[in-house]
Amino acid sequence: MNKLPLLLRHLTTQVTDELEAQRRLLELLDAQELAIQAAKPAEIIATGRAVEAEAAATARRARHRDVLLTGFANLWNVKPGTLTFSSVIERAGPAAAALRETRDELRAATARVMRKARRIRTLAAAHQRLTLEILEALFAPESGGSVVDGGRLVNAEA
Amino acid sequence: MGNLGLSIGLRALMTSQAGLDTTGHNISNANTEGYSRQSLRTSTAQNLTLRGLIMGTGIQADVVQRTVDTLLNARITRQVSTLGRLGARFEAMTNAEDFLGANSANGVNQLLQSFFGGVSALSAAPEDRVLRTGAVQSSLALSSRFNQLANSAENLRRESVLRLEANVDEVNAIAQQISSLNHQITSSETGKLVANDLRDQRGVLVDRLAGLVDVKTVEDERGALRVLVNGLMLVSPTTVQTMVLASDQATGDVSIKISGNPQDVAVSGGAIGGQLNVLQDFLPKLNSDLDRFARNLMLEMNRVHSTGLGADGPFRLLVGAHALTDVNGSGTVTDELLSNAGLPFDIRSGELYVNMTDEQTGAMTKHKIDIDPARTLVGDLMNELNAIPNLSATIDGQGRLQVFADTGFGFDFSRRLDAAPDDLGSFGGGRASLASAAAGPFNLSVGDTIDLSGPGGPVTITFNTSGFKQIGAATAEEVAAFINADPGAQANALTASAVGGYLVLQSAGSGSTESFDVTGGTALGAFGWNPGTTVTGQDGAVSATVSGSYTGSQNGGLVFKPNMDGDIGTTPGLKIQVFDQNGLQVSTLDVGPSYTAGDELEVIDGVRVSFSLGSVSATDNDMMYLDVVANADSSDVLPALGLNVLFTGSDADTMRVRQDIVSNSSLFASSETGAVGDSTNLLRMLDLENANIDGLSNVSFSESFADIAGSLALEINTTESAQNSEEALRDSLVSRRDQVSGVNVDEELVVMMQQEQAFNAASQYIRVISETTNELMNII
Repeated sequence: MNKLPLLLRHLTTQVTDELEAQRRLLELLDAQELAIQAAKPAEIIATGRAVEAEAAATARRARHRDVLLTGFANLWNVKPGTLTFSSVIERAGPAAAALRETRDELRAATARVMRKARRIRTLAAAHQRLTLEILEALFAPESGGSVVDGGRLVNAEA
Repeated sequence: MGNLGLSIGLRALMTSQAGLDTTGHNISNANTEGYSRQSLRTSTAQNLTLRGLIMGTGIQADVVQRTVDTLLNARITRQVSTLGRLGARFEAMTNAEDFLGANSANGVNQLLQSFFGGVSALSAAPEDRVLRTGAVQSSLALSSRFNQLANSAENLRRESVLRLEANVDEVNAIAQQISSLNHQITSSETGKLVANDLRDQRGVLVDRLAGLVDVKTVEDERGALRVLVNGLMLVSPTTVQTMVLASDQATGDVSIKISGNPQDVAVSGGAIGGQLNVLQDFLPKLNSDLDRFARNLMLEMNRVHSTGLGADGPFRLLVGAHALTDVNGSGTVTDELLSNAGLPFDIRSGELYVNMTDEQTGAMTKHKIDIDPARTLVGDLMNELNAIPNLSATIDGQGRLQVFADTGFGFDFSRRLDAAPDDLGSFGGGRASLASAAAGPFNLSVGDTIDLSGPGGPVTITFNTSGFKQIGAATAEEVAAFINADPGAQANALTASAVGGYLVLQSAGSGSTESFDVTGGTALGAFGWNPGTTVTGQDGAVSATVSGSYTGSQNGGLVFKPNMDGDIGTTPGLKIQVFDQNGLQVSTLDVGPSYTAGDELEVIDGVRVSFSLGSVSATDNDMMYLDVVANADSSDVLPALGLNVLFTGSDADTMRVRQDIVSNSSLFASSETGAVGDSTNLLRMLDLENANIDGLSNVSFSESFADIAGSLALEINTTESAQNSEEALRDSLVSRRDQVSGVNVDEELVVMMQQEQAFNAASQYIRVISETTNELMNII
């Protein structure tokens, strides 16, 4: 029985799932960027949690992807860790035309997510520094230390 | 695309910084008076069309806006104004209450009690010099207290004026600052820019202004504030007017004006409104109440004192305490109406009784002067006084009326009874005497005659108009003067007199050898005389002696007439009939055989009379007249002129004890007769302690002063209550404003810390995403 078509179909489906996930992630990142721009803590946290949940699903998909790539490695008698989507498409030839198209879309989407994530990270870090500076300027304790430091327990019996 | 992303991020960062700056500004001004919380208003930045695509460009900051409730602020402004007014009034009223000291030992009522206590003590021993001095001292304490009250009220007035001046200056300073802020706001507010902090500063100034004066504010389209006081512009968008305190130097009246407007500004709110109220209403009323009280006290005391006598008896000289004024500028005061001669108390229509006493014999004559405020001139009064034998009246260099008696005579104005009213002997004297059957006026006509025959032979007296105001209603005085001027009457040594309105014709000598005949004439009927009447004198004259004190309520006279010819104490059925001034018989005295000469008989209202032995004749119309006086000065001419008064002056400020009484307490009028031990005038003064006083709305002195103090206390309570409730309302409104516009530092801090934590969390989430996407990108 030729397993290649089956594996290709499964991998194409998995890549399509990944593409959908990246698109959802991009939407969430857009929302988070707006929340950061508007400096709305509740929305920042809410969108962050949604992003985190989406990231958690990414791990599940990664395990499924590893299983499929191991299948391809066994089929072609190569080490599982050496295969990528591109090497699979290369080895499968014309049978992987659909996978090639989906992989291209996934690459573009992932690149957009990466850029968006970098920008959000930079933006959040800059906002955080700015907020911290103003907090320190307005509320820094005279004894030193940071305003965002937690309290300190003292021995009441001392 | 990369540049656009950078631009979006940068704008977001700047917007965030603006928001954080606003938060920091809020926190920094959390305790700044009048600061309104500010917030950043943001919006989505305008889209950008790029390569056929409409691209979002992130967020943008639009405007920093104040969080204010304009209606609430306007309500607070009005409330501040109300509180300012109440505060100023409350302060002045409590000051007044302090100096009024109604319940202190030095209070007016306590001093009044002390005064009446002193008078009461003196009434038990009117000759006691120590008690007499004590009564004068308590009078001094009372008058001094009123002087202090008037002085304190004046000090309060001056203090209020000074505060008013300071507040008007502050209004002008604030108006200048508002005008300056108007300029800054209109200059800086262009487009969407709003000068929030300048507006807050202006709001604070408006509230401060409202605390001083009730203002109305209107903002124009450019953001400039018009400030109006009672409809008059104080601050316009371009100019500022000056508030001015106008003061009338003569009257002390104050008013508020705004430059450029001649009319007074009716300020009713704020501290200035309260102080104006104090100066224009409260203090004048307080002064008026105090003056009214002092005037009535002086008037009532002086009414009694001026008609009494001191320890030394009748006076030889009295000088009025109050100067007369030459109102019409004629160079003399004698042509002034008494009621319009600048005297401090009103002259009423009434009578003034003047008693003249012969110091040698003790004989007294009573003279009545009618006073008509609409007619009686100062000169008329002087003429009447000068017409009294042995009495003179002049105006001294200070315009005061001076009354003095000839040497050997004294005068007074008491209501005491004439102990020997039949000094002419028309009742039972030794002279041949014929009285008219009734009192005048007498209906005579020109050409009417009386035919008489005396020692000088027959004489006919023919009446003409000479000396008569109206001959058809001739008075006894006019007829007597006409007869006395007639040479025939003089040749027969006949004299005519007026006694209580009756005409009395008498021989010059006394005794049974004296006589004259009334032989005829057309005038006899007018006098009730019959032709052919022979009038004869007698050797034993009847002496009538009056005693007691008249307790009736009306001034008048009593006419005593025998009911028949007869001898006192002998003739059966002989009675003396007593008639009042209206001709009504009020008493009948039995002087027949049961009467013992010298016994006192009760006539009426405390008046007693006794008769000696002798003959009386109803045929000759024997009569005697006794003035009975309830009020010796019903015209108030004595208190007005200040003759024999206790207190001088016209109000609380000028009230004094008469200086010569302070120097010589024997002048304190304790009696009505001058007799040793007589304290009847002191008793009259004591009656005033609980008397209801007409001029004080028919309450006693103590009740009246308690009313003054009580009204003030009530007003203070009312004002304090109003102040408390208005303060509570103000606090409530301010609390609401704080909720709307105030800065809660804790909230702001929490928000900022949440932001900081959220940004930190966002970075962490993104780190996870970066890791997973990197892994994905590697596998692609």
